[in-house]
Amino acid sequence: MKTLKLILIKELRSMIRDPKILIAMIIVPVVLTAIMYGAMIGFIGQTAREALTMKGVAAVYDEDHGNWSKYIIDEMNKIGVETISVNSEEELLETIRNNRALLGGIVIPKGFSENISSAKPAKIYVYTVVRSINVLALTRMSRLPTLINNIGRNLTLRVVSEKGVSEEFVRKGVKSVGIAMFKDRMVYGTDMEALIGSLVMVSIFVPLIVLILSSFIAQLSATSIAVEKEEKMLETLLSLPLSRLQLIAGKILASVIIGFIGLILYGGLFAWYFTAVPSAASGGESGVNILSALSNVIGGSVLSSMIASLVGVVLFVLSLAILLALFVEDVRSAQIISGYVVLPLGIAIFLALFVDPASMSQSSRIALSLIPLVNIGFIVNMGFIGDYLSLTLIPVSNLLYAGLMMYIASRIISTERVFTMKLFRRRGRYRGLFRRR
Amino acid sequence: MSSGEVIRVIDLEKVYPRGVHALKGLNFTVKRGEIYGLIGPNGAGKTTTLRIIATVLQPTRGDAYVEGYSVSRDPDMVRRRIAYLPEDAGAYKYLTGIEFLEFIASFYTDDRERMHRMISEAIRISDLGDRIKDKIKTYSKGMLRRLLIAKTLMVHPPVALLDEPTSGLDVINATRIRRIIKKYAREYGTTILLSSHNMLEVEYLCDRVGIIHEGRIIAEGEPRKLMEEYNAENLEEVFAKIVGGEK
Ligand SMILES: Nc1ncnc2c1ncn2[C@@H]1O[C@H](COP(=O)(O)OP(=O)(O)OP(=O)(O)O)[C@@H](O)[C@H]1O
Ligand SMILES: [Mg+2]
Repeated sequence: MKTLKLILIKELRSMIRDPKILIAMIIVPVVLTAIMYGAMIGFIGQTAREALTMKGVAAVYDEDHGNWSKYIIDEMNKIGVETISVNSEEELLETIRNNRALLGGIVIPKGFSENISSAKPAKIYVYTVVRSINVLALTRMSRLPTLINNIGRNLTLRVVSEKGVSEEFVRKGVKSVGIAMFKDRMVYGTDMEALIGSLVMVSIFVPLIVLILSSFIAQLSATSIAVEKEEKMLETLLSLPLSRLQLIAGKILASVIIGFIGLILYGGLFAWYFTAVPSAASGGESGVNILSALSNVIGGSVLSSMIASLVGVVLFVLSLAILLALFVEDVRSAQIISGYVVLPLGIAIFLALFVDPASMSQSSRIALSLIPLVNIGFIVNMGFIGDYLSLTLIPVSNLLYAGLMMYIASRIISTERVFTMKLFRRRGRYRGLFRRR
Repeated sequence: MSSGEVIRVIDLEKVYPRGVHALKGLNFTVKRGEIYGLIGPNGAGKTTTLRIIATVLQPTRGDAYVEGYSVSRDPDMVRRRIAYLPEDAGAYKYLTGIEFLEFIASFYTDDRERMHRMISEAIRISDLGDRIKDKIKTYSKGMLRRLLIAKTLMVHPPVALLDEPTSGLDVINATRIRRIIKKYAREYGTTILLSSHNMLEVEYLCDRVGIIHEGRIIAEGEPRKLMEEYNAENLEEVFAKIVGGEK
């Protein structure tokens, strides 16, 4: 234990004083996040634009039967959205619940046209079924609310220009009220777009955190042995009366601690961003809805699956990085090599965002749950869908992969080969000396 | 093995991974309190020998013993009895000299008192004065080497392994270090195994030397006796005569 403590203190001290590694550690996730975020924004913008020329079917309960409700339906048809009219709110709910192909439904309440004619604020209710917490599914869900928002905005402008201005009307105008329908409950929100935006963020959040954590840990543990070589301390260390296992453990522990500190910083930043920014943008009200939507999604089984998977992922990445550290000679190549681990992982995680397990068969979902590291991105959604088999398989498979990796790594470490191998590599100059003769 | 023999090297062979046969059956012993010098040209196998005794490398064949413990079978016991100064050692750049000394000392003792004594001794040996509180990053090559010699000797190991202890030091510093090494061997009965290129250094320091060439000891004995035996002015000449005569 003493060795572990000494190594740990020394590691932390050097790391804090040597900004080189820490800076690289911060830059990599920033770059990754920026790329991912940029791609996300581009994708969401694209689907928002598509929403304006979209095809699809929506259910409409026109309680108003006025000229302005007809205007709304005409506008929808003009853009290419077919409308099915239903005769009650119950029928509307049932229709959109049972028909996955529908974009959602709207209710135009009594008095809608009258309100508009007398330049009073008016509301349209937009119902959306949240079937999956997945970027693709969520952006599809955002189409109808976006469309109705646009139509409402145009209508407001038209009324303002035709009828002259009522101050209240300009402020409130024709508003759409979003209602998100989860499995067994409905969440009323003023701003469906903000809510869906937040859910998209949540679906990115977990994989992003995993990515950042693995990039921290991979870098730190891959560099920590390279540091000893660069500082020309490895030989001295190996001759000291200390346990080699504790030496490695101390280094790993230091990596994990710093990795988690980084994770908390980043996680806090994101959590703040995801909750504060959307709710601030929509006047505070939807912040509450986002939280209640989240509590709907994240239950105990999701949380425990998540924690177990995270442990598996951390161990997996650690052992992988240590295996790779065998082949590195200095800090810079260690950082490059950890990039080789993290970059494909980042790409895989990004692609996985666009896979919607909700629309898949059970066997494909099981296959998804067995993909190491990437599968952790599906946990929230599997919990949401209620696929408890996959929810269990994800942490189990991650822990198994980690065990396998650790076994391989420990086989190499315990033979002391890990040290001598590297020592040989570093001493390339001896070969030159030998040839001289 | 007689109790006087602290280091015993028996038929030591080392073949490096790419087939370099660095040691081809090395034999020598070092007695308690003795200063033993390994001398020889570049690539002779000095560093390889010291690394094996320091438990950094493992022997391919043969074995080495420190106070009776085998480096291949009992490396932990060996490590507790040695302090090793590698040829091109460094130190943690971002620690201060004193933090570095504390780091090393804590592996040898838990006792605060003893640790304190070790460190004040190291400060004296290194002669770094107030600079000991600066980051090692700011040290010159000579200062670093002095710090490393100090960290090796401060723990009062039964056996000190010094690979070219004075390399990189100017004449004044080198002389000081030689005097300290000698003093340590006498005062604390530390057994010292060192390697060197500098024949004058060896003549001054060592009770006995082993001339190593192409992985074998080709001559061994007290410097003066060797010179007499080969009718030479100095060890350099001894070496030239042996290597030349063999051809
Ligand atoms: N890591 C290594 N891999 C392969 N060969 C090596 C390695 N280290 C040393 N050698 C070879 O082993 C032989 C002995 O090298 P060693 O370093 O022990 O010599 P030395 O006597 O210390 O030389 P110098 O005076 O230059 O320090 C040389 O031929 C060298 O090329
Ligand atoms: Mg050498």
